[in-house]
Amino acid sequence: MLTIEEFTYLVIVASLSNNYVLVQTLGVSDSMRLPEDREAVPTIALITTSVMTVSSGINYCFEKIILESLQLVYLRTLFFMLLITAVVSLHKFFIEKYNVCSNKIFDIFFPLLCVNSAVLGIALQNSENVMSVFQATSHGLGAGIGFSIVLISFANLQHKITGPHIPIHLQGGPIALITMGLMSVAFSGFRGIM
Amino acid sequence: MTNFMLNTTDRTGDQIALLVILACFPGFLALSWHFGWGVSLNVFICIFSSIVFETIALSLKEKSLNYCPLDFSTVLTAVLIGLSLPPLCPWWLPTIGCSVAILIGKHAYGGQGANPFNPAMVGYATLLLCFPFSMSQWVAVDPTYSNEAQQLTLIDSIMIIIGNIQQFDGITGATPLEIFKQNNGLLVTQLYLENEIFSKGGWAGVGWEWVNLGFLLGGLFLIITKIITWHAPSGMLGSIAILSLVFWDSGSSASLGSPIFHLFSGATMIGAFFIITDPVSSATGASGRVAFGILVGVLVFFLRGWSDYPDGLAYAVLIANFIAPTIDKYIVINADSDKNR
Repeated sequence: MLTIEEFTYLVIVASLSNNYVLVQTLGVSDSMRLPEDREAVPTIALITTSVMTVSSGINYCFEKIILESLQLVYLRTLFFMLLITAVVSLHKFFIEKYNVCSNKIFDIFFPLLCVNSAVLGIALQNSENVMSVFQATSHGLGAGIGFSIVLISFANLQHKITGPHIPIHLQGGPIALITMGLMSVAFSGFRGIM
Repeated sequence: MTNFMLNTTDRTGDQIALLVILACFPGFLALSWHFGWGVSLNVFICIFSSIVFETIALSLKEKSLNYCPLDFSTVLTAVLIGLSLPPLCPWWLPTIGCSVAILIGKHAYGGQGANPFNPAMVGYATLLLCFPFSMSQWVAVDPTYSNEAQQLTLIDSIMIIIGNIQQFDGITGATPLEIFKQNNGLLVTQLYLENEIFSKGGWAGVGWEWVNLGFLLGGLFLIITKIITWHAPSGMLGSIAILSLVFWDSGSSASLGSPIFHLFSGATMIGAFFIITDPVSSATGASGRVAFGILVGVLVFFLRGWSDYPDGLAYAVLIANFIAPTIDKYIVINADSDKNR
């Protein structure tokens, strides 16, 4: 089982000092691809966190129970992607069944979530670094929280980094990447949290 | 030149920036008294290079160079960087810091009044990331005020800064926050007895307590003249005080230091009154500013306690700048946001 100290440590490390977007540069494009309707951003963050949490646990179990016994660990990237797709489809099914949010943007959001490199990155790191399925799941939860912090803050910052006041050569992508770079500098302050 | 500081009176942006620079003066005096000529030289190099980079940026933007060299908001950014850098650091350190601050922190986002991040902290954090060794070489403060660095003449200090004299290593020492960071199992009482910087000091380490007191005085002057409001500083200082009280545990070896130590050490006061009160990059409205200050305070204490850096104010301010629009959106929905602007 998991002690509360372990859980806190894993969540803080995965969300801040090993933030997937800003420190490990995984899922950068997904955190910068914002929907037209900004009100949907918290929902997207919540769904991504849920997918990260569930898929990291399932992937860990699948690898340790099935792949290792069949000695097929070298195929783990392929199986992880299939399982992530399954988890995402499950989320889509439940959201549509219970009509949690009826928004057109989710039609393009779910395919993109399957290829979110942060989700796959968590699964690959879990297979090397964690000891139990509980640790894997809390690592996934922490990564999801870190992703959500970046996504929501970046979406709300948009009005400051778009507009005619930005120099014309830096408008759009360049200034967004500069902003992410500065945030990466800021998050390097969390280095060494143990 | 609009909305630089809280324009509650009919002062122009330049007058406000000038008053803020004047309010830095007590802290600057205390720094110079304890650390020698290096502080003045840092500030001078920063002001000079900032004006150069500002001119370059404005000419690149093809704005009319109807540009008075005494643009005080640029000078204020430069002064804040100069005051936070270690004295007697090599000359290229403040120059690089100011180039990043002015070109990327300020003009890439459209110049004055549009920057989402505090330019001075962008420059400082980049330096801390890129040159960790040079940035940690603080001049030691001698309790008897007979330190070599304090007796260095202006010419010697200039020679050290441009690299002609290599006697820099002998005059540096650990700051109080570094001593706490490198504490290997000593009780706080033992730590205080063992290090002269505490045993000869008043309450938070020789030199540093007076530096922070100087910035506190300057900050109170700014509050009295209504250039800044009390919200963000009280949020930050209050959260640091409460957190350090919670983690104080009466001075065991795992203790992170007393509240008075945290309030009067490192960059607490200059951060609380001069850096997080920049209205462009912080949250708006009274409750938003309190929340912003609390966020910075919590992050500062968290970084001091558990990260690799002895003092992470620059990182804390940048992260809080990033989250400030979110604070604006979800916390400040009060009518007081307009009343207290």
